[in-house]
Amino acid sequence: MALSRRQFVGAAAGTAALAATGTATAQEEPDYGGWFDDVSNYDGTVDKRGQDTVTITVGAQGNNGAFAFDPAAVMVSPGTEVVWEWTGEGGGHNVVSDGDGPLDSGSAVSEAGTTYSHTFESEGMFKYVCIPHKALGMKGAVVVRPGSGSSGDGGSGGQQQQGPPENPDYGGWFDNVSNYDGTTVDRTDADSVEISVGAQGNNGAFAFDPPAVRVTPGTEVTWTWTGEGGGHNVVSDGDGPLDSGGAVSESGTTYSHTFEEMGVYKYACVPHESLGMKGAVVVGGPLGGSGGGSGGGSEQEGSGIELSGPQWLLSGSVLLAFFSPLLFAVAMRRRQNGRPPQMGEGGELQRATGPEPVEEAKETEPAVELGHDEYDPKGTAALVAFYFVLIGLLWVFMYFVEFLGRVSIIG
Amino acid sequence: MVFVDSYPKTSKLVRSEFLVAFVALGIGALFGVVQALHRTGVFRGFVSSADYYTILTGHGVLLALVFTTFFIAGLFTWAVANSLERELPQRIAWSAFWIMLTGTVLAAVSIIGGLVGAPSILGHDLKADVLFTFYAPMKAHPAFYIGAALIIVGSWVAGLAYFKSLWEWRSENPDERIPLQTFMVLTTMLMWYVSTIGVAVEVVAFLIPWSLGLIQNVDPLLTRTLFWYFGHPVVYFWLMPAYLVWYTILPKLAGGRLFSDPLARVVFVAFLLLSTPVGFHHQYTDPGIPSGYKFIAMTNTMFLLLPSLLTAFTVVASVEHGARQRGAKGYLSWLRNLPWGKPAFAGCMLAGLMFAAGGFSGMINAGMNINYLIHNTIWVPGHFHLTVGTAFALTAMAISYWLVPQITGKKLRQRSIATLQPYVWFVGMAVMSNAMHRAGLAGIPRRTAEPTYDEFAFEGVAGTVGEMRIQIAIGGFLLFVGAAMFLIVMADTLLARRGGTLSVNSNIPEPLSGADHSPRILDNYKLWTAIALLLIVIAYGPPLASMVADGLFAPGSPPIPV
Repeated sequence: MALSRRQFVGAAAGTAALAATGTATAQEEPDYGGWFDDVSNYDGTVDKRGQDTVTITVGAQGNNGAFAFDPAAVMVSPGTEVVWEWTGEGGGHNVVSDGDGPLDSGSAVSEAGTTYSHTFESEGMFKYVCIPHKALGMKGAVVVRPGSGSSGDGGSGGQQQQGPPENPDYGGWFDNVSNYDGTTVDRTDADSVEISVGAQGNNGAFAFDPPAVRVTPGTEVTWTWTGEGGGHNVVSDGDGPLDSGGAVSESGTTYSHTFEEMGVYKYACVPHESLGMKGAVVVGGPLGGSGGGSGGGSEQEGSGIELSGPQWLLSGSVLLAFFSPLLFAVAMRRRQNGRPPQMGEGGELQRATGPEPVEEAKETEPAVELGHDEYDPKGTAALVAFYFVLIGLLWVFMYFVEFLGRVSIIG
Repeated sequence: MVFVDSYPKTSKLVRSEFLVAFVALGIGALFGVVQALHRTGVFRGFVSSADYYTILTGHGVLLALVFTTFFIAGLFTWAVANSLERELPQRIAWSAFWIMLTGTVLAAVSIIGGLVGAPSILGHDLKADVLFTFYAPMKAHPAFYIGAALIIVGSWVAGLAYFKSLWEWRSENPDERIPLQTFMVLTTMLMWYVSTIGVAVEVVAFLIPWSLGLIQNVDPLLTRTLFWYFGHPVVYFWLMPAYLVWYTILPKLAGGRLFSDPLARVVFVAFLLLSTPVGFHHQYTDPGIPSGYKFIAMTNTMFLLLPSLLTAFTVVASVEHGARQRGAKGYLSWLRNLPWGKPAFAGCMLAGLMFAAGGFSGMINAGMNINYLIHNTIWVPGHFHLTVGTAFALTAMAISYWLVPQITGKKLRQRSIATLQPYVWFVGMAVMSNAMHRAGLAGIPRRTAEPTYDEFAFEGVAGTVGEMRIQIAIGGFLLFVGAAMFLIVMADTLLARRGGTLSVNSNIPEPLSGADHSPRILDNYKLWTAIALLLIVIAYGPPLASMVADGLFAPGSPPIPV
């Protein structure tokens, strides 16, 4: 009953401009059916078609530790040999198909440099997991599909190049960035754009401002240091082109880069990345107007919730129980309708004529009056003594038989 | 005169509090039977195994936090008004009610959000699959923590209404002893104030800012420790109202008188002193807490057996007094001479009997070494279904049969269902809890949707795992039926017309030994609270200091799941 994952499909433009990370933003994203919902490092399918050999790292950073395949989802041409290479981190891993697939690297191993390879001949989608860490989200998929990858497959009709949509799916990149308000600042009108480094945000001067900006290809982006919040730098997430070097704190420092290719370029300040000092530059065509690329639009799958029969029963019962006070109140009202109006809330003044008189049951008199001095609780003493003996015996059983009898538990 | 006519305003408050409690009981019981059928594999069609934890959280929060707190608020409101013979300060008491209700709605909506796909509300996924024990680093929607905090704050405000009543009463009766019921209510509330500091700091200082994203990391050990600082005393917050019923109402229902008023006061003072410095006995397997402090917690816990054993004696002696006044003779045959057909009496007695069994499994839980045998197994839920799930819940239901007619002026309806109901609950709990204890000894874990593993088979000491599963499912189903029977009786009673002669009588006879014979120091709240705080500083000071010494948020953990 989880919501379908929102999948943004790039505007219908050609695929020539791929993001620096190689994400197939403009390629139709395969439907993994929720397979990557709990995989933290999944960030779209990486298009590696046209290569003879593709390498996937096993034990890459992700899923709260070294519990990831990198890239998690990759698209290759038929006949490609895919090689999995172990980093040696995160304990023992393996590569095993989900269900009946062809992949099985055997039991989990942890040595760095271990490799496992498989050549995919037929088209299709091949999901796989690391069995020990499947629950943590260590899952991947290889999609085998003809085409030539990053050189583009000819586009779908020669419309004007548009690049990523107006609000690209950043894949959770901005989740902990306090000064990102969900919008990508549109600067496609400018030839050069400035971003301040060390702006206020993320509980201190730990922000890029604006955090997300859209520019046209050929724009020079300049980062300018405010001098606040200690040493910062600007480094691409993953394999991107940005790298301002080591962290510096001097006010007025600048770093610039000219973006030529369309795509989404994520970057962070390495010392403060965990605080949320992250940003992104989106390189694409100008927005607005009914540009050529409107054909595809951004398609969101329906967010309908599907319930099975018993689930309907359960939700129905919960709702019924939840609203029962309301139903109850209605029932109360209906019962009171037949009575004189002053009976409503029962104030003091209306009491004389109002509610029906109520009296309590008569107190039952004891058959024998037993005072303080005549009463000796000997039956109670017997019961309490019996209880002591019982729990004593049970304790002996628990300690000597159950506890000491199972030394394996305590070593 | 019937309570509803003597104190109409307070009666309305009690009715409102009970109504919320009963709705929570209904939803919680529904979630309970879904769980019992799911984890035993009898039927798994209601929810997916991932959503099981949402149901588990709902069951725990609605029953252990909402049902208990609202019912206790109602019971205490009645007890204070009844024993001090005055209406409660209305404005304070009603604000408490509305604060708690707001908190309940926030928490409940956050939990239910997890069942409808966790829609994003205010930038966070609306869900709270964090279980009743809401440990970091599992993270819920901020609304859940804010709701939980409001429930606690509301209960504080309710306590203020009780204290204000006492101060008013004291100014008119400067030399009298505090009436026993009020004494019990206020001692319980003092214990509650002292012990909820922990969870309040945990939620307000750490979990709310963390769930809002204002701070990135929290220290899981520190927040767990703060939770359990509150997490054990909360069980006495459930239990002491049941004791209030057993001490002050049950003897009358049996036809007798309370054996000793001073003994009852000693018991409640002992709970105030010892309830809180024991939380580490929930953390025996946690690293980072010195063993010596775990040992102190164990010692304090074992001392806590004392007031419960005193209670066992006093309450049973009072009931025996009732049987003797009914003309019973013989060593044990007096047990037959009791009103077992009256649901209020039968329910309280069966609840007390179950609590005796729960006391035993509690001793095992509290033992520092033997705890490893059953730590985090289903033994532990087996234990607390005997204590909060029966000693408290069955007592609450039973005493409702006696109390609800008095606060509504309506005769109890569906008497035959009501008479049977405590026995259905008792049998259901006996079957379920026994099987849970045995399954725990076999090592079956708690908090698990599908406790089966590919290359491992659990082995029971006596009986098979399959048989235990069936018993848990049958017991859970009977408990659901029991809760439904109770709610039917209550709904029909509340919807009936008022008037006529009730079947209950509210007069509570004087104890055999009255308060006059007891030292006045028992009523000295300042002294007992000061000693309680001192014991807490000894038990918690150094370990908490060492946890904080390496930084409030360190070693930190980001939220899970990401």
